[in-house]
Amino acid sequence: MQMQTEHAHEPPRGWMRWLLTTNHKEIGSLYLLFSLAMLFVGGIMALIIRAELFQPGLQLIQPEFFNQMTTMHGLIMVFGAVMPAFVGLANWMIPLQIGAPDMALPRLNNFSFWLLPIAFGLLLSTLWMEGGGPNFGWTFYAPLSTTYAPPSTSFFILSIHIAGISSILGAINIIATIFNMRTPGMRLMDMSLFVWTWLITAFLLVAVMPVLAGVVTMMLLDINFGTSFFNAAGGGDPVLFQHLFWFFGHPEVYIMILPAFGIVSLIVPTFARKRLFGYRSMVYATASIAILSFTVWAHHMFTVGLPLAAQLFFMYMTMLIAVPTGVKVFNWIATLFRGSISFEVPMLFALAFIVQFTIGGLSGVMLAIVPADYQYHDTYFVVAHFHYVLVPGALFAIIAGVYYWLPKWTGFYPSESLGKLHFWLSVIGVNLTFFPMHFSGLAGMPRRIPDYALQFADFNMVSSLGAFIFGLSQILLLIVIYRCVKGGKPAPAKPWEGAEGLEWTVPSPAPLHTFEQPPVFDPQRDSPSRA
Amino acid sequence: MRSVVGLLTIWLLWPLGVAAKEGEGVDYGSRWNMTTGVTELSREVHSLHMIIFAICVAIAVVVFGVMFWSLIRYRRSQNKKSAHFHESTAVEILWTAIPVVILVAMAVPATATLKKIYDASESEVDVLVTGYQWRWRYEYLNEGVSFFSNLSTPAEQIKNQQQKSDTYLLEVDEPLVVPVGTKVRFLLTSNDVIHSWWVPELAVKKDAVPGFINESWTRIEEPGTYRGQCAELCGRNHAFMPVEVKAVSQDEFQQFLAQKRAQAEAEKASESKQWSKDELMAKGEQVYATYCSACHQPQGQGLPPAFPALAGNANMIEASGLQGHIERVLYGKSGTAMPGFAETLSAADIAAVVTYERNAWGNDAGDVVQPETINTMLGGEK
Amino acid sequence: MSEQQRGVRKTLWQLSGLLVLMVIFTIALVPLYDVFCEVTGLNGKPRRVDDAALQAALSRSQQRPLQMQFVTRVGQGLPVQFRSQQAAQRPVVGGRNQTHFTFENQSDTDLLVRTVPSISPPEASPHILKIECFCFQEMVLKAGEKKQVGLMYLVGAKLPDHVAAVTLSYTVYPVADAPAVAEEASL
Repeated sequence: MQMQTEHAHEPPRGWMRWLLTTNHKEIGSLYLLFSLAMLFVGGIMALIIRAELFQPGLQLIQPEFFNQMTTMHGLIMVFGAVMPAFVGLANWMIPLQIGAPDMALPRLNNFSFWLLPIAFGLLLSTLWMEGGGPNFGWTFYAPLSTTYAPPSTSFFILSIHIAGISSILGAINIIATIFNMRTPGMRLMDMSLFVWTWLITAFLLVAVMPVLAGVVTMMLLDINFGTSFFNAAGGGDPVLFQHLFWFFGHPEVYIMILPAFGIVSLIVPTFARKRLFGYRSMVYATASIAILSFTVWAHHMFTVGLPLAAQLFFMYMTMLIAVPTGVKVFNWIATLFRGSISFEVPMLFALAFIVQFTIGGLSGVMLAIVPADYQYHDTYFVVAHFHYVLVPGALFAIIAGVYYWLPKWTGFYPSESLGKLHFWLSVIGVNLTFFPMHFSGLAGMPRRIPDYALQFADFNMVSSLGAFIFGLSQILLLIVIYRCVKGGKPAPAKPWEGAEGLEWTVPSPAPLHTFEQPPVFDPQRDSPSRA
Repeated sequence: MRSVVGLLTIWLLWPLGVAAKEGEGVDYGSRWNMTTGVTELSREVHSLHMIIFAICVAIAVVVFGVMFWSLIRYRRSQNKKSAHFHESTAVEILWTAIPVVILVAMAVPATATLKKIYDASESEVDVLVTGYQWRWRYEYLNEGVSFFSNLSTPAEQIKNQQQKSDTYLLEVDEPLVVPVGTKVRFLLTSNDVIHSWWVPELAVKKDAVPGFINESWTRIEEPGTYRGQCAELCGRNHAFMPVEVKAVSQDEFQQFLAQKRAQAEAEKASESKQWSKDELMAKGEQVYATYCSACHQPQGQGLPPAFPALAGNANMIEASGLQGHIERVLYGKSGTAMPGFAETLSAADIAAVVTYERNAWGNDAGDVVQPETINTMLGGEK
Repeated sequence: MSEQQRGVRKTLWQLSGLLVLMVIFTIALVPLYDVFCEVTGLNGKPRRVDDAALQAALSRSQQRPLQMQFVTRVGQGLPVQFRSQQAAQRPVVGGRNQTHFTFENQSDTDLLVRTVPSISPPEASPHILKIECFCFQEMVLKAGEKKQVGLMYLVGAKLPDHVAAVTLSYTVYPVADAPAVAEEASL
């Protein structure tokens, strides 16, 4: 009842409307715009890093600022760009895909969004504080991040807390929505894979964000209140920090990739004009990846001095994750097989995702092999690996999703020619940036260094050139989105002929309020798991 | 995508493991690939890497092959009508089982190699490796020899004012010297933050954790110089704390130890004489450049608030501040990045650097510290 | 609608329960980690000994070559000299062994210190049982004092056969609240 009366009100005008909005579409847009802004902030930091690394020697910035850039780049991309982008897509699309009028907790939704600008405003402000911003890497290993940290570290901890609360609230909202707001007749196994992957992601968030909060709280206590959780001098243990951090950190990695699986699992069938192969096994694979993600954290710590038995356990578990991940890739390819495939921009990004994510996955298998990992660990090989999963992986999936759903959001098709240009420049740029990093890493270049030995010079130059191509080509993304909001080829309710799902039953652009009456859903006809 | 395939092909066709020696810089064996290294284990790790890599490439070729073939064969213009199948339990089981088999095949040799790495038999030479911000300290246990190993690349090269040498950023003033054909055990720990001691050609990378001890070992087969770097972010000068290991014959190793001991003796002898101010200032400048200038900066201006300025530091220059100044250099400041140098610098070094700091960059304390004073403060132990 | 809201409320309660559980779990991880370390030897945390463990370890004493290496280190900012009497010794496996360490306070202030132990390789850690050790409590070093302390330890008979060299490291640190000399001289 409450929700209905809210709908009846005339929304406030101007900026107050955006500040107070409880509408899932508006909040979704806010999340997406915030994430886009952070993508550029973090991207500029990446370009500063790559500019310094263009040649050996220190040219542009000093090591302490370089360390702040690598740290901030990581934090902003992970917590400010990728995660909010997925939450934005979830806000927009989950209610539309399950036939709900809004999220289950609209006011909480507003609150969890507005925490984000506060968190990241605070985080960015540390750059101007005395002693500079965080400079200990996005993994902030103690004691570099406690005893030896700049004075601004307490603000960094506060901002992580705020961003964490935002994530937890967002996740709770998503779970409550999915469990309670599905249109009558829609069972869990009738939901789209995007909804499924987000449901599992949300559970991961609720499970591990408290661990992150706990870790940073212990840091705060160590720094300001004389405790010794991570301080050997006081009887603590710096390695405990790494165990706790990665207990959060590894599931976090999957938080950033599972929704991407969901997006690609919608786009591939649409443009192959063929139903997704193995819907059920996709759901099971996602769930097993999520569960296994709690048992592999120490593969980030193979050089820290674990007993042999522990090394073997974490090696085997890590290798095991390749199995459900492989199932996903095989299912996508089986979906393509004997389809009727067209290559619109969302499909191009989704296909590039499959290839590039697989490259990242394969280097992940290599990294799991402990003896070889002794040589890969903390080198550019690792940088190449996780960027392949996150940039040509997760980010490409997000961009694919944006191109896929833009017609629904704006009522216009995004420009196909600009989109294709954006795609090709991005693919070339991103691979030029990250592929050579495999080589520099294998040749022995450690990560997080502002200056390097001469034998790494060639590959670093290529990486830097690639980074600028990739970075600058994202301006095209801005242009495409701006033009698509302003106008273009009008899109019908279902702009892609092979698309399935309830979101395509509402007009384009989707009106502010949809599904105030639950839509009819017939599992025999509409379920992705139908016979 | 095509660029990936292209680069992958180039890499595969490149004679693997063969050094590409053109241009500048030293190679760890190869510029493209993991080094084969110079120990039995490093070769084993390399071949393990090549096997997994080959398997991964094979998987990629098959998977991408099927994918691209499907994309081309079943593109819209060729295939107007898509098929209807959307599941097959048999196929799903098959492509769950095959990866499991491949993974087991990878895990078997990996486990065998890992067990060899975890060998805890006795060694002939034990070296305690301690990470400092930002240098390594090597102590030959049972031999009474220890020293620091600092980056020796001049600041001018880093600032691009001078041609960079081939060993740019990979060279140190005093390399770790170990005998060939001998099991050398490294015990690793740290004085401040976590560092990671890495020499690619030995396939040894292990974290140095403050308060805790880790170990690793090697048996180098060929004499030579093997270079590496700190692999774990450890603060400002993380990029500037290389590792240089010199493998020599057993005889040369003994000579090296004897020479190090003699050097320490001579140093001790020089501590009893009275030094002139000029001598102290000259030595002090060297010590300062190696041990202090990274944080307190070449002109003593510091990087506040983390690293206080020494130039114009009133507390320090006052005559009454002398005692505190020496103690700070000797024992460091707990809870900050300032280490104590009592254990590691000689009394002459400490006397010289304190004298230098008090009388350089416009500081005008005017006083001179003699090595004897330092020795008295240390209870005559040194 | 109201049924839906009841459902939402129920989910909220359940998720809050999960959240609380995870918070408790996180806090519990700290002591759990210590227990885990003791059992597996992870990180070389040495074990405190109880009677049962002592008897089990003593059950059969054996002659086998084992090298026990002692490493001593002094934490940053502490004017203390800390030496092991023997750099290494060959302990009896399955029997009691003894060695000595000396601390010397080189300053003219009393110091409160704590010594942190660590054992490598981690596999050996559960089998090195300390009967008498200075490392479990804080210790006062008077100004200029030279103090000798003993360590009595036992190498468990179940020490894996492939472990032939064990390192026991001690790092002496200042206890934070104690007035350390280094703090007084304000640079």
